[in-house]
Amino acid sequence: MTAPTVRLTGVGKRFRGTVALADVDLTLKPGITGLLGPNGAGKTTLLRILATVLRADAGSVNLLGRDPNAPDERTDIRRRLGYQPQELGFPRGFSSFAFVNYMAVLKEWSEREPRQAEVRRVLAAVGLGDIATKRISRLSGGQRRRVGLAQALLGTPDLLVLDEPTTGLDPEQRVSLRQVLAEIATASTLIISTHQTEDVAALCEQVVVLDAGRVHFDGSVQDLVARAAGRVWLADEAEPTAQTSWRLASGRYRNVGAHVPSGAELVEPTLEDAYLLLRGARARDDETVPA
Amino acid sequence: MSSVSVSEAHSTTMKPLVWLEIRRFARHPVFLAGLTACTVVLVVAEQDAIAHPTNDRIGAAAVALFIGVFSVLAAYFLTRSMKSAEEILEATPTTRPRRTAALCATCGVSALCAAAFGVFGVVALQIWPMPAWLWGTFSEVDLVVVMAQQTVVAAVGGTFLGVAAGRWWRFRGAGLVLVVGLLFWVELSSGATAVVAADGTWPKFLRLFSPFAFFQTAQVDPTEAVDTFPGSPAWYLGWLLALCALAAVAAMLHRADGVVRARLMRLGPVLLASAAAFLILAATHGPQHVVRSFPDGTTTVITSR
Repeated sequence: MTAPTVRLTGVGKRFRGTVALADVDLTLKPGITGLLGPNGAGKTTLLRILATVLRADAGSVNLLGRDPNAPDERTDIRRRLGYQPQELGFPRGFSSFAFVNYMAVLKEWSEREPRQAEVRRVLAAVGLGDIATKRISRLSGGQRRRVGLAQALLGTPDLLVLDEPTTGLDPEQRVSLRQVLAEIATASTLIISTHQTEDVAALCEQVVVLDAGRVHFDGSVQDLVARAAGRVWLADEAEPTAQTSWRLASGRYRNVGAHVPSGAELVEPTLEDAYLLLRGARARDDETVPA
Repeated sequence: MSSVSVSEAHSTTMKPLVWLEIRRFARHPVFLAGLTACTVVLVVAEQDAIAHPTNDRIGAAAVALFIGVFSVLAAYFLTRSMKSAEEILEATPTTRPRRTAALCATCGVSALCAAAFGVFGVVALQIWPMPAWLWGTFSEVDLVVVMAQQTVVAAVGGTFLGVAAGRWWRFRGAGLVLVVGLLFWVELSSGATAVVAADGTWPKFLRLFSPFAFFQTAQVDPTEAVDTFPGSPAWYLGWLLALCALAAVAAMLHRADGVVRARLMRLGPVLLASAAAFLILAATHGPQHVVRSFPDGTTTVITSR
């Protein structure tokens, strides 16, 4: 059995009295884990803790068998870590190659030849090989995100933390990114925060749903989807009792809800249906909490 | 990469990082502007000086201003340039103090340029010599020390100060505030006390408290007299080097932790005490009164009492 590369126990984090994470337990093994949740759920805070750029206020964090609070062990973790933050700015005047090369130096690629070969490899992997010498300021938003991804891929890290890596990418780029990540995931642990449930469904073995700083689901994608089995149906009208309904291109309505009317035409649920159902259950729980 | 030991990795990482930062510094528009201005000013000044010799042939003040002060700004902007990518830099094994140390190493560029201008001045003096009395009562060693203070040390200190400010000052316009503050410090300490009661105890301390101090009246032509000011140029060099080291330590202290922080915190008070000691030694050694030298080779001691 593969040993976990990430183990979080009772992790908490507050920002000026606001609870960002509360009592988070999480275990990740090699493979891809998707992190889902609404805005403000604490996803970015969790990823920043995993990337060692933020310290937890409570609980214990173990990454790649080491303690990120100990300076030497933190450095060791960072040698085996790749991180793409949600919002990444770039210094002025840098080309993609120059920036990723700078990052490679910081990641201790000291020898010039192997470093530059690695920089070319990761830029090619994210489809920027042909425009590597173009200034980053002249690249599109999607291309800039891929520069951020390229630096994260340097050295094929054992732990790869990606915060919304598919934002701003076109469908072809997303598919290409999935191929790159799937290849890395054969030996590394990847955690990806995203709002794109189809990316999670296509890539991830494990899914974690975070809401209001707490883990509301941690299991396989199939298990989460199974929770919505028998709760998604098609109808000619939007069902008032459904938790969510929307009109399809066919003119019919897709309804997702806990209470299915008798005789409804049930369909196979998707991860998105299951996520919406979980979110709806959470919202109902909040409403029933006494003031 | 995971098998690389911490010390082994550190020793190999700094060299390419230092080279990258040096290249960035050497190409920085602010530094290049200072370099260009300094070249123009010194070439023009040298042409004038051949016709009308003065004791400012080496143009040390111009080097301190255009290389030293412009290095402050260039180093500040260079340090701040990575602000937007800070989050991913933090997630790399190269710690912030090491990145800061690499930025501090860019002082080599400004120091080299300042030294080149100094050499240019010395060579020009060999070709077009000037009357010896214009150097006041300085020995040759004093002359070299003063020249080093006003060129190389000003360039190194300027770079360190810029990096320190880039690490600690995050408000808009911090670079401008830094330069104005620096010039105010120099003007207040050096300018205001250079002439008035220069041999009084407090004016002497205040003049030498500056990061740039003249040790004789500048821009003197052969028909006038030159004043050599009190204080020891050699001990004053110690004060300046201590200030440089304090700026570097302050820069590297930013977000340092563990052993590095503990070492820097121990070093800080030692450097502060050294700086204070050098300042006291600079003010209490060397000539204690203004000495005026005349074109006929005679000198007279000028006292304010």
